[in-house]
Amino acid sequence: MRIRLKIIFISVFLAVCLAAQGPLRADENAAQTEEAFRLDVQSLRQEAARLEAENQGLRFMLKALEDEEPYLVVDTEINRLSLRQGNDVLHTAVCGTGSRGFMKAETGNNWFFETPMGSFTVLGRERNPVWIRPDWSYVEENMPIPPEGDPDRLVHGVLGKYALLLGNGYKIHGTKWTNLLGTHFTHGCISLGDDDLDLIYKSVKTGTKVYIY
Amino acid sequence: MRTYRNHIIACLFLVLSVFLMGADGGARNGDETATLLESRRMLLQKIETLRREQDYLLFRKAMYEADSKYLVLNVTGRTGQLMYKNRVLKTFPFFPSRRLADGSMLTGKLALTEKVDGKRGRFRMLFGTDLVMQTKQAAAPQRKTKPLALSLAKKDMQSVYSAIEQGALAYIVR
Repeated sequence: MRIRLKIIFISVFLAVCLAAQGPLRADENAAQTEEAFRLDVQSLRQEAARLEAENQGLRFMLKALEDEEPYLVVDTEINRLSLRQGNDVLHTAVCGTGSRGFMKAETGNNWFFETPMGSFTVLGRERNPVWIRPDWSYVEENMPIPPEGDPDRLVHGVLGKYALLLGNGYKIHGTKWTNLLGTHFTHGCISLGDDDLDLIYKSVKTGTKVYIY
Repeated sequence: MRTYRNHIIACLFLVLSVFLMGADGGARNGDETATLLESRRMLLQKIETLRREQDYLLFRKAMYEADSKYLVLNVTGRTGQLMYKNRVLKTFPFFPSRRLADGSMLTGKLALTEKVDGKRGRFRMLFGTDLVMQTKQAAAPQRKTKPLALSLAKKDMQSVYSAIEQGALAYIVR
């Protein structure tokens, strides 16, 4: 009787051990899968860290290329001048730009009155600027063209109180034709009303960037 | 008789303990796997976002060094910027032709392939077959088909149209 019981006990024990093999093997597989996931997650973490570091470097690089200096933007299509700083618009003014008109003199000279486009720099600032009448101004009024340097070419008070020099004779200045602001009426310069000119003149300095498009 | 009962109890105890051990391990493994899967999903999402950000940062870096005007279009904010190097030349609002919340929303770099000067100042700028920028038309039907159309106020469109040339780049950000 006792031996029979022992045999039964041992058989049950072996059966249980065999039955336990299945779950244990499943556990082993799950552990392997889990380990694979863990390694995958670890490599993804490394990838994310690498990208974060690279992006941080790029952000620093871009930040270094930015500056907080105010600059002027002239939109010749809709005749607007804006004073900007970073993403902020500090002031917007209605301006006048080149008429896009063409003029031909009997002497064979041609003029196209267009505001130049591109990136410029304020090369100088003038108070009470004097207009030096160019040749086209005489041709326009059917007058004889005086020689270069003739004092007759100097005209006071037509450019307003201030002028910002952009080079090649182009300026941002005032005008007496304020009713034409917002249209293409100039010979290439950028005209502003008195109040706007006052503000712009005081806000920019020599070296300020001007973008005209 | 008593010994026999003891053996039976011992057997049952053994069987029970083995099964309980297995059950516990399985549940623990399941929990950890689920946590890992969740971490993996979140990390993949984060990597995707970082890659998109990097693409945009690299685009900006390239444009800061280039000598051409370009557009940055924020489709979620519905505002665009006309840029030159690191300077904003113009900021303008736009109105998309369809809802932009869907996952199919395009992002990234596009090149201006065609400029169309239509009747009565109706300008259109085509960026391949994916995007159109156009003058806003009152009571225009909301098209739900491709390409995505961004409508701008007449003056804004006029400015942008005249400012950028064929081949200019636009970058769409969310």
